[in-house]
Amino acid sequence: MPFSSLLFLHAFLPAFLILYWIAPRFAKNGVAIAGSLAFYAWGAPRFLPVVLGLGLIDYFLAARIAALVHPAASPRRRSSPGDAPPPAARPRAAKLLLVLGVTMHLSILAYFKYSNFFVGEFNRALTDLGLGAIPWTHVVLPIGVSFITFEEITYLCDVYRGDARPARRISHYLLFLTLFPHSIAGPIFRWKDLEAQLAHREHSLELVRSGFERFSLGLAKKILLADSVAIPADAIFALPASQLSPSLAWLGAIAYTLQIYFDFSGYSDMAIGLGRMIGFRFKENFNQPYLSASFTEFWTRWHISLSSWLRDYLYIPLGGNRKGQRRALVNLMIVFLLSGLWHGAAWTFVLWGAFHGSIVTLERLAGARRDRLPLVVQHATTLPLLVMSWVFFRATSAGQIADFLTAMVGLDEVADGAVPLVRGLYLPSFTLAALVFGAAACLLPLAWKYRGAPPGAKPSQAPPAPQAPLVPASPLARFTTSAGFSLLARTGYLLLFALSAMHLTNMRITPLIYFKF
Amino acid sequence: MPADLVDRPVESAAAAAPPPRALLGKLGLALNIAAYVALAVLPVIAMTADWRANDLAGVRAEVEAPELHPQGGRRAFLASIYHEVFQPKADAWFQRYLGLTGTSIGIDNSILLHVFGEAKPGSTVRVGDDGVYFIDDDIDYFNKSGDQVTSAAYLDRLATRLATLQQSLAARGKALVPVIVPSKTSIYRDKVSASWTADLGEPRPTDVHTYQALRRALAAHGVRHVDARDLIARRIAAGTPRSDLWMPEARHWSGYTGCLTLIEITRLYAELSGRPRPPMRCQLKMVEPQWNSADFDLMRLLNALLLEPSQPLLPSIESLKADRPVPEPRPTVSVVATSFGWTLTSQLLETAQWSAIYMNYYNSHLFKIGEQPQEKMKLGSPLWRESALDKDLYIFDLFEGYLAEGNYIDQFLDQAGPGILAGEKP
Repeated sequence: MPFSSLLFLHAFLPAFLILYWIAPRFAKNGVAIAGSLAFYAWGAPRFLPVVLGLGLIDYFLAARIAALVHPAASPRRRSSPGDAPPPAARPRAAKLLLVLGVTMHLSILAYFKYSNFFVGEFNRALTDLGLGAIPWTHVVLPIGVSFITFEEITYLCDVYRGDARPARRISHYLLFLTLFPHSIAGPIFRWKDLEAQLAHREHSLELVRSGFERFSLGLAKKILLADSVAIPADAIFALPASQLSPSLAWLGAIAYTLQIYFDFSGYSDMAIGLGRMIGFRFKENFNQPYLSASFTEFWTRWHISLSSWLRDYLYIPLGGNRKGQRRALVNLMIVFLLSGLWHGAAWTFVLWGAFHGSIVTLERLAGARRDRLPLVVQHATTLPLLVMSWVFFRATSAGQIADFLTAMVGLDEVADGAVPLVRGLYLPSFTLAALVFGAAACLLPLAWKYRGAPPGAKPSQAPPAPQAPLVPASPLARFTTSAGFSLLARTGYLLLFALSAMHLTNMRITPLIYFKF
Repeated sequence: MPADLVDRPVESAAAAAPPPRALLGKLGLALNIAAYVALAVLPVIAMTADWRANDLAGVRAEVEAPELHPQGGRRAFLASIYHEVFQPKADAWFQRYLGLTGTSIGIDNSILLHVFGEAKPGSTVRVGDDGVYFIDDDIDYFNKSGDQVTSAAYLDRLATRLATLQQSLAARGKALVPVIVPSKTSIYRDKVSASWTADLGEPRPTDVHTYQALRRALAAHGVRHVDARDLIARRIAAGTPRSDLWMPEARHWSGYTGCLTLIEITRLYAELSGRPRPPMRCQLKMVEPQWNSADFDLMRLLNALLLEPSQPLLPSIESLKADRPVPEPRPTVSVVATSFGWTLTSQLLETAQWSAIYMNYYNSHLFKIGEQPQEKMKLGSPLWRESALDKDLYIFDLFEGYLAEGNYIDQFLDQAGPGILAGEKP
C-alpha cells in the first residue's frame, strides 16, 4: 500500500490517525504497532512472521550482547550509551553473538533479494557451457526487506559497540522495526535515534499540522512532479537505440534525474510528515542533492540515512581511511559496489555503484586541486555526470547504458527513417511545466546561495547574512513573518494536498521507484 | 471571603487562563488539521453515503467486491489475505467505488484542459487547436510514417476480394458497396496541434500510402465504391460549413454527412443491383444542442468542467421517411462497420425502406437493428447466418485508420465470403 495510493490516503491514514489520536497515552504505541503490522501485512503478509521472528531474535540477542559487554547491566538497569569497554576488552562471546546476528540478517537479505539473481547468473553460465540449469523456484522479494535488514544490523552493532542500549520493551523494538511511515521504503532508522521517542514523545497540534504540511509537500512531489516527469523518462527509455538522438537521450536522462529525486525525496517527506502526525521527529533524508559541487558532496545530501549507514557500518569497519590512502580508495570502491547491489539485484546497479565509486575515488585523488577550481566549474562538471549516472540506474541492461551514453555524447546518429516522436505523447504541456518547475526547484537555490558566497566557498558554506538590527526589515521580510503570510502558507499546503489527491484520483497510481529496494 | 481568592496575585490569575489569542490560535490549528482529515475522509463518506457526484463519461468496468465472508469462514478469509488474493481485489474495488471521483477527476481535468490546453496523459481524447478534439486512434493514424502504413500488396489483395464479391453479387441482382470512411484528421488536419503532429511532411504518408493507394487499388480492380472523404472535401469546397459535416467535438461524422453518404450508397446499390433506388432525402436542419448527443462525444469524454459547445446549433436532418415507398419485397441490408456504421443503420431504419437491417460491429458483435439487442458474434449462429448470408445490399465501412491485414473486413470476408459467393441462404 504505497502512501500515494487512494486506499492509503482516504482509508488507512484517516482511520489510523483517528484511532491513534483518541487512544490514551499509554495505548498509543499499541495502536501504532497494530496499525504498522496491518499496513505491512497488506503488502507482504507472508513476510510478516519473518519480520516478527527476526525482531524477537534481535531483542534477545541484543539483550544478551549487552549483558556480556556490560555484565552489570540488565534489561531493567542499563548503563549509558558510550561507556562500553574498548573492542579488545569486549568478551568473545558477545562478538560471536553479533556475528551470528549479522550473518543471519545478511543471509535473509541474500536469500530474498539476491538468490534469483545469482542462481540466474549461475544457470546462464551452466547453459553457456552446455550443461543443464539447476531447477529453481523464483523467490518473491518482500517489500522493505533491505531497509529492515539494515536497521536490524544497526541495532545489534550499536548495542555491541555500546552506542545504544538494548530495547527495554519488546514492543518498543517491534514498533521501531515496523513503524509504517518507514517500514517499506525507508529512511533507514537507527535505534539510538528513536529509542527515546518510542518511550516518550510529545504530541501537539502544531506538530500534527506540520506533519500534514510535510506530507502534502511529499505527496505533491510524488504525484504532481515525479509521476509527470516519468512520462518522458519512460517513453524515451523505451525507445530503441536507433531512435535516440542526443537531445532525446539527454531529455530522458534529465527527466529521470528529476523523477527519482522527487519520487524518493517526496516519499521521505511523506514519511517524515506521517511521523510528526504521531509525535515522531525523523531525521532528514535529503538536502538539495543536486546543489552538490562534487559526487563526494552529493553523497552527503542524497539518501543521507543510507550513505551515513554505509559509512558507519561498512566503510569505517573496513578500515575507512585509517590504513592509508590506497586502502581507503579500495574501501570506497567496495562500499559503492555494495551500495549499487543493495539498490537492486542486477549488473546495471553494480555498474551504477562502480561509476559513482570511480568518480568519488578520482575526487579523493584530486584532493585540494579540485577544490581550487572555480565553483561554477565544479558544478558544471558534477551535474551532467550525475545526470549520466542515473542512466545506469534506469537502464535495463548494460547494452542500453552504452546506447544512451553514446547518444548523450553525440557519437550515435539517429538512423535514417526513424519515426519522429509526437511531442504530445512524451512531453505534454503539464509535464513540460513539471520538468521546468522541478529543475528550477532543484537548481535555483544554487543561484541564491552563490550570492554573497566567498570565492571557492561551496554554496552550502556561504556565511549567514549579517544581523543588521538597525536596518528596518524589508517589506518582503515583514510579509513573510506576518499572520497574513502564515494564513496564505497554511491555505497553500491545504490546496496542495487537495490538488495532489485529486490528481492522484485522476491519474491512478504509479509504483514508487524505491519500493522494492 | 476565602483567602485563596483574596491573596491570589493578578499575574498568576492571568497565567492560569490562556489569553484569547492563544485560544484562537489553538482553534485555528485544530480547524486546519480537521480540514486535512476532512479532505482525506470525505470520499469515503461519500462512498458509504452514496452521494451523487459528477457523472463520468466513458465506460468504467465494474469491479467485483472482495469476499469478506468466503466459503470456509474466517480461515479462508485469512488465507486469502496471506496469499495476497484479497488485497488487490479490495484495492481495485476501493478505487472503483470511491466517492467524489467524478468531482476530483472533473476538477483535475479542468485544470489540465483550461490551464495547459490538454487532456490527461493516456486519455483517449487529444485536444487539437480551436476546440477541435480527436480520438487517439486518429492521431496515431495521422502520424504513421512511411514504413508503418498499410502495404500496397495488402490493399491490392483487399481490392481483389472486393471486386470478386461485388461482381458476383451484381450478377445476382445484389450489391456490395464499400465506403471509404475518413479519419477526422483527414478533415480537420489544420486543427491537429503541433504537439500532436509528427514531422512527416506533406502529404502525410497515410494520404499517399493508405488513402490514395486504396483508391488506386479499388479503381484498378474496378470496384465501385463511395469515397466519403472525397464527398466531404467537395462539400466543404462548395461552401458547406465543416462543422455541419463533422462537429469539432465529435469523433464521428454528423448525421447530415451520414445521410449524404447513404444517398451515394443507395445510388450505387441501384446501379449495381438493377433494382429501384430506395428514396430518401437529406435536408439539413439546425437544432438545439443536447449534451448527450453523439456530436459531443469527445468533449464529454474529456470529463472536464466549464465546457461549452462550439456553436449554438447542431446539424441534423429532417425526417428521412420518403413520400413513396420502395416496392415489396423490401430489400435487406447488412452493414459491416466500425462505429461510423451506426449513423448509417439508424438512418436506414428511419427511411422504413428496408425489411431487415443488420449491423456487424467490428466482426465482434451482431445487431438486428430495431429488433434485437446486441449479440456477441458467434460464427455459424442463426443470427450470424441471418446477418451475413443472402443480403440485397452489403455495406463495408473501409475506415482509413483501421485498414490493416486481418481487420474486421478481412475477417468477415474470410468467414462469410465463400457462403455469399456460393449464394448460401441463412
